[in-house]
Amino acid sequence: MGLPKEQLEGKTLWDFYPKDQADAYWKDDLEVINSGQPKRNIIEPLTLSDRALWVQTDKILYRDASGNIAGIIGFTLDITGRKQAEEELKSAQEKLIQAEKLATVGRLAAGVAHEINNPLAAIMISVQRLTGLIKNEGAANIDSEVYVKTLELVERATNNCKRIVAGLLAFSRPIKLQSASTDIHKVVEESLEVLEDQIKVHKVRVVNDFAPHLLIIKADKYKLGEVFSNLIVNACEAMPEGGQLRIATRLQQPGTEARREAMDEADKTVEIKFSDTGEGISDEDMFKIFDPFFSTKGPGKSVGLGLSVSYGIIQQHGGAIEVSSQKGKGTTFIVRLPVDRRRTTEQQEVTDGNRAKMGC
Amino acid sequence: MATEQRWDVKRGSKIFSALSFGQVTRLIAKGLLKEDDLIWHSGLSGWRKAGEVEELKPFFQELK
Repeated sequence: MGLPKEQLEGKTLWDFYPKDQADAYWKDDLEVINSGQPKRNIIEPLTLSDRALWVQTDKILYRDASGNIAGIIGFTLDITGRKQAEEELKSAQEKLIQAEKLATVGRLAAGVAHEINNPLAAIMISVQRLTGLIKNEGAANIDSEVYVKTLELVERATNNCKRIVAGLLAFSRPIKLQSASTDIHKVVEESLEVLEDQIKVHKVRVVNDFAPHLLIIKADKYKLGEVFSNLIVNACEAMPEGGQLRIATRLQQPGTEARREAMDEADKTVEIKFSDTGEGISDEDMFKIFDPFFSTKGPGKSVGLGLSVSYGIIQQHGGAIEVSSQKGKGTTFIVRLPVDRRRTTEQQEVTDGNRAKMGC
Repeated sequence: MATEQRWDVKRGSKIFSALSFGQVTRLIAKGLLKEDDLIWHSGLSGWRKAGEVEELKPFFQELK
């Protein structure tokens, strides 16, 4: 309280504190008397001095030699310094979070500006060239082929801008999932079909190592297809000289991961693993690959939103994504998705699968 | 031949796995791995805050 002993002796709580506060202290005293248990409080009491004060009070019951209650012993510790340090730390952390948010916004703006600038420049040059031709030679004298080629170029550049904006929207907006029973193997196969040409161009050999039974979960097949396609494209681009992409699926049983994740039987997950034999990525890059606008593919080759959007989709499915990589040996991505608990038995999975095959 | 212990790091629903101890300490030094990130290696019964894992404490201390 910051007062000398002489001013404290013989006084009660109500002599120092407003009634409400003194009543609260007295309530604590009664609680200690009735329960016999010690009580600790951390409070900022109103004091007669001007300085801020935080105290920790410990109250314990004091009994005489016969075991009768003789009073309460209170220990009060001035913890103002500790509280101030905590407040300062909290304030420093808030400032840090704010700074990180600003840095992210800055990266976003720089990324968008950079990526949109190139197609915009292409559109401007095309339009300027065509306008110049029309002015100099007259619209009727220009070969229709020139019009078509110019407009096709404008269309391609506009589509690029559209793709970038779509990626941004997908990144910033919560994705609305259209969930239904989904055959994971079918989604992987469809993604591979769509990317067949790209896989061939990159001379990538795809090995499917699928679980022997059907894996059916409740998911948005289109969004999952987007994730799988992103991972397949990334794998292909990581193997410019060709290589192997192994896609393995399994129903994850409690095992090593169970010790890591404290997983029980009810938390079974479907695991889809994409392992390439490509260049691999450094540990530093690995820590940034899910960040928006981060890309290892070089300027102009990628917007750097694929993995951050994929991560958002997986997160919305209640799943997780795992990455490991060794420079020069390859990279593995594992997508883990929770099994719909209503469909945990293999029998149900097979029944659903058969129904799907029959086109019902 | 004894294999090097693998370390996994979890941040939200992202897991960066199969890192070596050297990689983990380098990531701490570069400020990429934070004390609040979760970490696991064989022998631990579940995820732990990186700042609370004994082997890593000296490396976080160095940053302070």
